[in-house]
Amino acid sequence: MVYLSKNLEKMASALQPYNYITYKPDYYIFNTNTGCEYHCYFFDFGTAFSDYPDLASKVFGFNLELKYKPGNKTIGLDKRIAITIATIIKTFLNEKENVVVYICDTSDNHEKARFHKFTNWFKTYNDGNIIQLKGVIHTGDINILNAMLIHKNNSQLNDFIEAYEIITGIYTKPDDDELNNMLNEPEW
Amino acid sequence: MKEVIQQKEFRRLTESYFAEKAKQAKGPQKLLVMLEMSKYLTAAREHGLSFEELRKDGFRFATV
Repeated sequence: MVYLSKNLEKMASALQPYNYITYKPDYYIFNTNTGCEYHCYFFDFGTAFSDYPDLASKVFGFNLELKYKPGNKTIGLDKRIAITIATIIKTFLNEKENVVVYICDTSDNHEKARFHKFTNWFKTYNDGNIIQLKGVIHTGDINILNAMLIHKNNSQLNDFIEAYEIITGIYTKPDDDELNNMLNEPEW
Repeated sequence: MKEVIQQKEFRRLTESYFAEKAKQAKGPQKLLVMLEMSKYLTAAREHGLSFEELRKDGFRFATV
């Protein structure tokens, strides 16, 4: 009986995020069962949205850094890291003001794996409130994968989606003259 | 033979450096500037810069 109860406790804790400490206004820290220490933070990403002054101050990038790893320990797959990151980001987005843009670094050729891992965490741990838009920037031979995360009840949802689609090149907005010409075409 | 270890040089930058670069960039290139900024912040932290120092350099962070 004690064994079963201990096992249930272990299973339940395996589905829980790690406790994290918030160092306002800068960053978050959490430690894993294997003794690793992670730091993560949201940084101002507004300059990429400088053409959208109403939105710019609410756009943030996200960085996750492994700050300490015990020397001789092998770190296996730890789902609680994903749950913790998803919890931190969801809490951030639940304010319904900010959005998070995630761009995959291509310098180590692991960008596809990293992107898949990150976007998959949201598929798995999303409670249905977070919308994830994915984009690709083609530059030379390199494809840079990126995603924007936004709360479905964000008051500027449509504005953010349009700005993101224009910046990533998914959509080109016609200027006013072009739009007027299109609307005045007889077939319209 | 002596092994030569080359350390990657770290140059301290300010937020306005990236803001100016993003201003010059068009469309998707703006996101690439931001990727560069993200990598810079990671490198800066590895080189021991605190969040306070980064804030003095104009970078802005947020928590809830």
